[in-house]
Amino acid sequence: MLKKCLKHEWKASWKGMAGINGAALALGLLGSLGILGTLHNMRIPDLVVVLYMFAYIVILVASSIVTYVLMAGRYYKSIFTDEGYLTNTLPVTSDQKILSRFLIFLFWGLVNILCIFGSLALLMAPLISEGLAETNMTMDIVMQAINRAFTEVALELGFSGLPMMSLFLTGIGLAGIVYSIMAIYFCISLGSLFSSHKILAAVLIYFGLNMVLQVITSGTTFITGIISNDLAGSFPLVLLLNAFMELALAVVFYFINRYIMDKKLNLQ
Amino acid sequence: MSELLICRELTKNFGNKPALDHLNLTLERGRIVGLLGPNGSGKTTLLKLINGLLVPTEGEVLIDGFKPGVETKTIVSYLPDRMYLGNWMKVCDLLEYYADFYADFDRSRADGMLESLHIRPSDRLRTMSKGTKEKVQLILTMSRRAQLYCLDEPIAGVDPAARDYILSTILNNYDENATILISTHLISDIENILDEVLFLKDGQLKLQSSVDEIRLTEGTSVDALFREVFKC
Repeated sequence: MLKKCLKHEWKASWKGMAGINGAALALGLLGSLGILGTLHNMRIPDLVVVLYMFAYIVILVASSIVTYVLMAGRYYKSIFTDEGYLTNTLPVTSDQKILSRFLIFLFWGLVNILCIFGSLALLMAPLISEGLAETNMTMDIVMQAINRAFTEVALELGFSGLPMMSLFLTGIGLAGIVYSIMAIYFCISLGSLFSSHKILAAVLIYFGLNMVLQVITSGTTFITGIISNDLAGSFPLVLLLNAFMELALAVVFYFINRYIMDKKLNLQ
Repeated sequence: MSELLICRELTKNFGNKPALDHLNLTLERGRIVGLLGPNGSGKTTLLKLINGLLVPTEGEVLIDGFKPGVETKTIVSYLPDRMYLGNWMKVCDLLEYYADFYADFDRSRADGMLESLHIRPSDRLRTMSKGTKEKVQLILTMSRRAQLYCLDEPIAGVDPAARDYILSTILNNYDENATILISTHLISDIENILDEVLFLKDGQLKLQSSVDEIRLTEGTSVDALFREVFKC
């Protein structure tokens, strides 16, 4: 049944998600073509450049916000509003309902990050290419220099090398996304327990939760820095502690979501 | 076991106000049952409790021996009193959705009913009138070979001609071991198809009787009896 839930969650979300992330990529490509044209003496009016830059920044920021808002909205709408009359009468478990939505959210969250980086890479590509040509350098040389610089940073922070640090940071980032999604689901589920203003309640709970977490994170950073007497050196440890805390909270939020769906669901 | 639905001391409070008040009820298989009562008598609340959309404050509801859950949702087909389908969906998407999740969904039955009501599978819900959307919902609900059908105001929003079609659809499509629980205010329209009626008042069962018994003992129709019992 999880596979079927995933299939229909995908069908419900892919058009909006592909649209906003595709727009981020398309604007990156458009900018890239514009820069390429300028490098080959094409004249682009200043107003067009300013408007483009504004639109580009808006779409990059909006793609992240819209991804989260649409996917959070999908969870709320499909479970706690009229559409919930169908979702909650399907012969599927609460685990399958939550997991299918979580996995699709996670997928689009990752796609969004890739699209933002892809868009920036597209935009920068002509400039990098021009810079290399002017300085008679090759991409290999630049990559080696970047590799060396980051390897030094990795060794400084106590990692065995750059691959280890990359893996570590990817894991930390993933834990952050998993936490964000589960925290959003948790706030929506708690908000649904209010008799009115459910969305407002969910938003307020979300901000409250993040404020508390910020205080805890600052506290652990400060305390770890004092204990180790080395703020930079303790950086990976702080990140690791925060990631563990986020994952532990995500698990707690998951079970609370499931409990609310099983024992407290009251569609009115 | 011929009992399909059992409610024991079933109570649901909204705040301090009881919507259902210690309701005890048993429904047998193979019956078409009218769930009747004035506004706010607890009809919709009862149907939601049967379908696991509300959690009881007290007591329990059992369907085929199980509390509402995955086991009961495979055998109960529910038509709520509102639009519950995503507006962005096409009829063909909905057919696929129902076929994927409900093993008892009869696709050919659904296709036949859609054709009779001139609804194309490529039509999108967003472009349909309210009445047509309601027909689609009813077709999906009745195309399952379920054991218990819970229909909340199934004919309220459709024209009288479609009403006849829908009632004949309900009659023609249900299995003789299945039970249909219909909540409605349009008693005279459905009276002829009912085997049994339940009168709810203030969340309590006021009357449970077969339609024949009402006609024999009271010498009146269900509609007339309803007007008498719930006279304002």
